[in-house]
Amino acid sequence: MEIPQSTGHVIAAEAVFSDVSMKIHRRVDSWDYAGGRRIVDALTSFARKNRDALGEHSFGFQLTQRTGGTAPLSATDIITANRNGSVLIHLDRDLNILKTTSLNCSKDDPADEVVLSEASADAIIAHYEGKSVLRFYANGFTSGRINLDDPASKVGRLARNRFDADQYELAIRDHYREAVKYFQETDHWHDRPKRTLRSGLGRCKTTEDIFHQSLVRWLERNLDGDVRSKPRHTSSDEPDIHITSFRGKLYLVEVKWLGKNDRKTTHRQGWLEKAVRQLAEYLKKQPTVWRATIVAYDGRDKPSFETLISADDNLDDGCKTLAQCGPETIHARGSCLVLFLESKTASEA
Amino acid sequence: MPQHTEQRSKDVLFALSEAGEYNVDLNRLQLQKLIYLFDVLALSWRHVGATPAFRPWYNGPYDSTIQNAVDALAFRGFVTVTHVSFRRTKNVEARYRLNEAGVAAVTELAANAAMAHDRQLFREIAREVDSRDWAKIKELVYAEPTYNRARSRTQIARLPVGNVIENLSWRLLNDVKAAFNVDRPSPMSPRTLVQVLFAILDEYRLSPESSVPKRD
Repeated sequence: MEIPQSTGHVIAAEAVFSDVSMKIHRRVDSWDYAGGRRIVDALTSFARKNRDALGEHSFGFQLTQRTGGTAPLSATDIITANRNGSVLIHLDRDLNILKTTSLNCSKDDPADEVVLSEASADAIIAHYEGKSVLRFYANGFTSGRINLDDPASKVGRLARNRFDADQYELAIRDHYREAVKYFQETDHWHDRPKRTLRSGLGRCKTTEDIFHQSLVRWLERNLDGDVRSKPRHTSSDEPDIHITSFRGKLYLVEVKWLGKNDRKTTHRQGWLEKAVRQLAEYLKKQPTVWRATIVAYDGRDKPSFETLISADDNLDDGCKTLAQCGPETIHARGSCLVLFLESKTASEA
Repeated sequence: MPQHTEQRSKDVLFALSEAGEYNVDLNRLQLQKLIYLFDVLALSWRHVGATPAFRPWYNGPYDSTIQNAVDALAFRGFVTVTHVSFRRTKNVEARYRLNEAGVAAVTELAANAAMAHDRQLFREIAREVDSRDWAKIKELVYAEPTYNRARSRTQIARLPVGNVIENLSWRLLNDVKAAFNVDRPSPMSPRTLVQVLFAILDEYRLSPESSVPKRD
C-alpha cells in the first residue's frame, strides 16, 4: 500500500523490518523484539569498545533475555574462556555472564559457520568474527551482520582469502603472489635491470621494513588471528612478527632479504644461514612458541636462487621451503621460506 | 456526562494507572499524547478503530473531552491534581495521578475482559515510552505519521485514526506485519506491533527528514 506523503516513514519502517532483532524474532518466537534491540545495541557497543583488546580472535555468545548473570562481560573473560577450546558464553539481557558451554568442534579448530548454525537451534548466537563483523545466528540461520567499523553501514565484502592463524605460511605465500612477486604493492626495486633493492621507502627506513610492513598489513587483513609487529631492539633475537591464534598458540615470523640495495648493503646466503642458526637457538630457549618461520625475499639473480633446494616441489613458482640452509638445519618447529623477487612484470617475463 | 467523555474517563484512568506504574505523574499534554498513541494503535491492537476525536493543535493532537474527563475524575475524587500553575487565564498547568479511589476504579474496570485488553495496550505503550524517557513523548507523537501529515498540511479536521485508509501508522504496521508473516506459522503478535511502531517512530524522528521539535 502506497503512503505518498510519508516517504521518510516508509524508509523508517523498512529499516525496522530489516534490523537484526526483527530478523531474530522472525526465527525465534520467544525473542522479545524491543528488548532484543537493546541487547543487540549493547553487544555492538561492547564489541566496538573492546576491539583493540580482542583483536582478530573470533568467539561466540549465546544471547538470552533472562536476568540473573553475575559477572559483567569483559574482554579478559572472553579470551580466557576460549583458551582451551571454542565455547559459547551465555549472557543475560544486561550482558552479564550466566555460564559457558562447549561447542561441538575440535580443540584446534575455531568454531565456524556450520558449528555455530547448528548450535543456534532454538537459540540466538552472536559471533564476533573479528574486529569488523558481528554476526548473529537464530535457529540455524544467519540473522544479520553488523559492521563494527560503522554499525550504520552495511558489512563490506569478506576478505578475498581468509586463513586460520595456523595457516599463516599460506597467507605469506598469498601475500608474495599478490603483493610482492611482481612488485605489485611493495615497489621494492631501486633499479630493476640491475636487481638493486631500495634501502627505504616512505616510512620504511630499511629494505627489510618495506617487506615487513606490507606483510604485517596483509596478515592483519587475511588471518584469523591476532597479528602484532614487535618493536625492534638491537639486543634482541626475537622474531619480529607475532601471530597469536584463537587457541593462544604463538607463531613467529622473521623477515629477511637477500641481494643488494642502493646503499650497497649485500646479503648473501651466509646471512640467511645466520638467521636460521639464530632462529634455532631462539626456539630452543622458547618451548612455548608453536612454530616460527623465516621469510626471505630473494633479490639475487635467478641462478643463485635456483641453487637452493626446496623440500617441497609442489610450491608455486618462485617459492622454496628449505629443510637445510648450507650447513644449518632448520629447527623442527621452524621453517624457512625463500621467495624470489621478479624484476620483470608478468607481461615482460 | 456525555458518552464520549465517559469513554475518555476509562482512557484517562488507564493512562494514569500505567504511567503511575513508573511513578510518573502526567501533565495535561502528556496525558493527551499518551491517549493519542492509544487511539493510533487501537486498530492494530483490537481491530476496532478509535472515534476520531483528536485535532492537530499547535502543541500536538488535542481532544478536549480528555481534559473534561480528567477534570471530572478529579472532581469526583479519583484523581489527585498537583503542581497547579496558571500562566495566563487559559493556560493552566497541572500534573495528575490516581489516588486510592482511582486505583480501585481501575481494578474494577479491568475485571471486564474487553477493558482489560485496552488496559494492556496502555501498559505496552507506557513501557515503550518509559524505556525512552517520558520527556520524549512529544517527539514520538510528532513523529507519528498520521499527525505528522496533518501537521504539515495545517489541517484542523479531526485526525482519522479509526480509518484504515487514513491511519498511516496502521498502514505501515500492516505492511510490516504482512512481510513478517510470510512463511511463518504464527503471525506477528499485537505486542510486537506496538514495539515496531515505536521503533519506526525512533527511526523517523532521528532521520534528517524529520522536523520533529526536540523539546516539550
